[in-house]
Amino acid sequence: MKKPPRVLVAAVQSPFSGGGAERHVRRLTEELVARGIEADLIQIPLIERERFDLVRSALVWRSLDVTEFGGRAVDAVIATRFPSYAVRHPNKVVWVIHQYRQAYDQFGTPWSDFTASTEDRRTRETIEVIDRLGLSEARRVFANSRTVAARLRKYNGIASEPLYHPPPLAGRYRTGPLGDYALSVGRLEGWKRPDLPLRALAHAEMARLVMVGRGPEEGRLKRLARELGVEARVRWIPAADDETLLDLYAGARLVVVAPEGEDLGYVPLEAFLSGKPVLTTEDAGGPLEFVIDGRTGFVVPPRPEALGAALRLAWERDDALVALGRRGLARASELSWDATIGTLLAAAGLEVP
Amino acid sequence: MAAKEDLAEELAREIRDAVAGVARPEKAARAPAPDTVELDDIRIPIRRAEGHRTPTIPQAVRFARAKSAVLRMLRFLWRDQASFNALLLEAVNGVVAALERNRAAMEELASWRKATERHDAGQDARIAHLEMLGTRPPAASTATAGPSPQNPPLPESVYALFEERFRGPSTDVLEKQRFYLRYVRNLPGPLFDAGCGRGEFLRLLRDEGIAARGVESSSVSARACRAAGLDVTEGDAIEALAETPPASLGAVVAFQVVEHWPAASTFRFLAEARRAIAPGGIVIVETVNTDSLAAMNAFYLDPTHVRPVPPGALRFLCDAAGFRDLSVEFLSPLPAGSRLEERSDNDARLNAILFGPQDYAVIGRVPVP
Repeated sequence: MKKPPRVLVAAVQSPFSGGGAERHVRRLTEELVARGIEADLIQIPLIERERFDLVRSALVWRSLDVTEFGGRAVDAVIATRFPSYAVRHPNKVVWVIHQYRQAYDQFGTPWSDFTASTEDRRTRETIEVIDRLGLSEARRVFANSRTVAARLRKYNGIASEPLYHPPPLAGRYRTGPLGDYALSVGRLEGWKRPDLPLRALAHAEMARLVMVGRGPEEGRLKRLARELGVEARVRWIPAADDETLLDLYAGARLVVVAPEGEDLGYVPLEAFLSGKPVLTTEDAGGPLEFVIDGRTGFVVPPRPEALGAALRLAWERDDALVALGRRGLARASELSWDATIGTLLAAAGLEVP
Repeated sequence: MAAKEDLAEELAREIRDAVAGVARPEKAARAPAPDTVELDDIRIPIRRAEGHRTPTIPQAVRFARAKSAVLRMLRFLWRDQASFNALLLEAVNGVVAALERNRAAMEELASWRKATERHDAGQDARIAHLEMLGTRPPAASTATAGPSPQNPPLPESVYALFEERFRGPSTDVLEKQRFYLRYVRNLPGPLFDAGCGRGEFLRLLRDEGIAARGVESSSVSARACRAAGLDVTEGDAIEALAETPPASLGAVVAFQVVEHWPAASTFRFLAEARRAIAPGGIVIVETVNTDSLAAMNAFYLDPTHVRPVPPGALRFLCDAAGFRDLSVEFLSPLPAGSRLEERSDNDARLNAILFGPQDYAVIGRVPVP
């Protein structure tokens, strides 16, 4: 009887604020364990108080020897976010969930606080070196979406393959009859552009909107709704537990996602698994990997009038929405943890026991 | 079902029309051609940069000298300037990258044209062979050359046919050589492929954007490589390496070459490689795995093979030539169906001796002082 392979998942911890990325790596570890792998999760926080902290955190990972524990070898390491992939292991596979985007595509935008100062420039260069080193020595590099893969190629010249996975509540999403509201789910922050669906309402008088999420823009968005005269048609739900969220998806008419250059985003997949079409924008990034105009949803230019026109027309056409939703459901159902884990293990030269 | 799908497509089309109605005309007219997506690399940062533009002092307004100095200072403090600069820089980089892509596409087109003019290595070999048969008796060429490691005992065109028959299709070799890519990223210089054959590895490197050139003694293969747009010269790999300036290469590789040489040539090759490779660079030497009887069985099938080189010997030669961090990798395992079914430890041991991997490679590094 062979012993099950030992696999470590390397991830970054954000103490006291545990976001989606942390739930994701925990889930990955659980899915490995569920398939008979002896898997465990190692996490180290990424400190971001001073610029050099970023480099220091990478050095912490680099200095770890995780090749064996308790006298037994670790067969493979699956590293995820910057800078966890700096860890050393002869059989390292990287599934890039996040690079440090502020140093790359977000540099020069309001979402990055890196400036042109010498210190910031050096830090950006160092981050590039860390990424190049940590990723090029990996046995195989996967990205969690095509958008992330394209960024790796563009900024680091590193080839990677997109590897998708099911959204967090996979197995629990349910379909329901077409409702009378458009649904928007996500943190209310700048680059997710939650103001776009709100502004679209002003161009579609019959449409109603449910906004799930909270964030720094909350106050401003509520003011905006009042100014546009659409507040009566908007319902705000700052926090929804799993069951409420599943109900909201199941009862929606369609789901609106309008971020600028998002990496992946679970929302389109969650919408599809609930049998709902997705309305998104041409510059949304990750969502475009699943939302195909006229096949599983609508893709329009990132302007309120355009989103408004789409809402207005979609509001009257139940049959078309149902057909789109059904195809979305079929597409999203293709993703499974079995396939994802199988690919990751195969890349490490291991098999599901 | 089909009717409903039409409904969905129809609705999407209506939405597109409606959006075109409310959108700026030039945007709506723009077809979603794939090329425009690439240009977004440039357009997006420029559009963002516009948002950061520092207000200029209007010409019409005439301020006192002092006032305008104060305004200038305020402008200096304008924090967005850094962002603006960075975005413009990124846009310019985007333009450069787009030009670069254009150039690469043109080159690729040119090489495709050449490739269609003269096709695959097998055909070349056959043509060369026919030409030779038509012009002079085969005996003449063997008589003048005389068998030696550098001058194989068969006419070149016959050997090319032989390779075509026994070495397996180019695509198989390509798949196998993909393994080495992990060693040749971030090299301190270009890669030198000694005995590059039909250029499979060079092609792989070109796809990965890794600089490389090759030397090949068969004129048929060298010509085929050049027709495919690869940087390949015809000649003796050891001599070519000897003429390369010291520490000017990132790597030297020799796949299935050393078994064609006597030990002295192999050592001279390694010593020249050690001299030509820059610190941090690597050497990869692949040959037939002498530990596998199945692989050895076919060794003298190739009439130009001089002697088998066991892993221990090759590793020793690499060490003696001054390479460090040596490792030996065994490759090309036989398919499961060609090995014994392993029901016991004995089966496993027999498999290792009889049906072990067909090739192995010694990989070494030039130490960084």
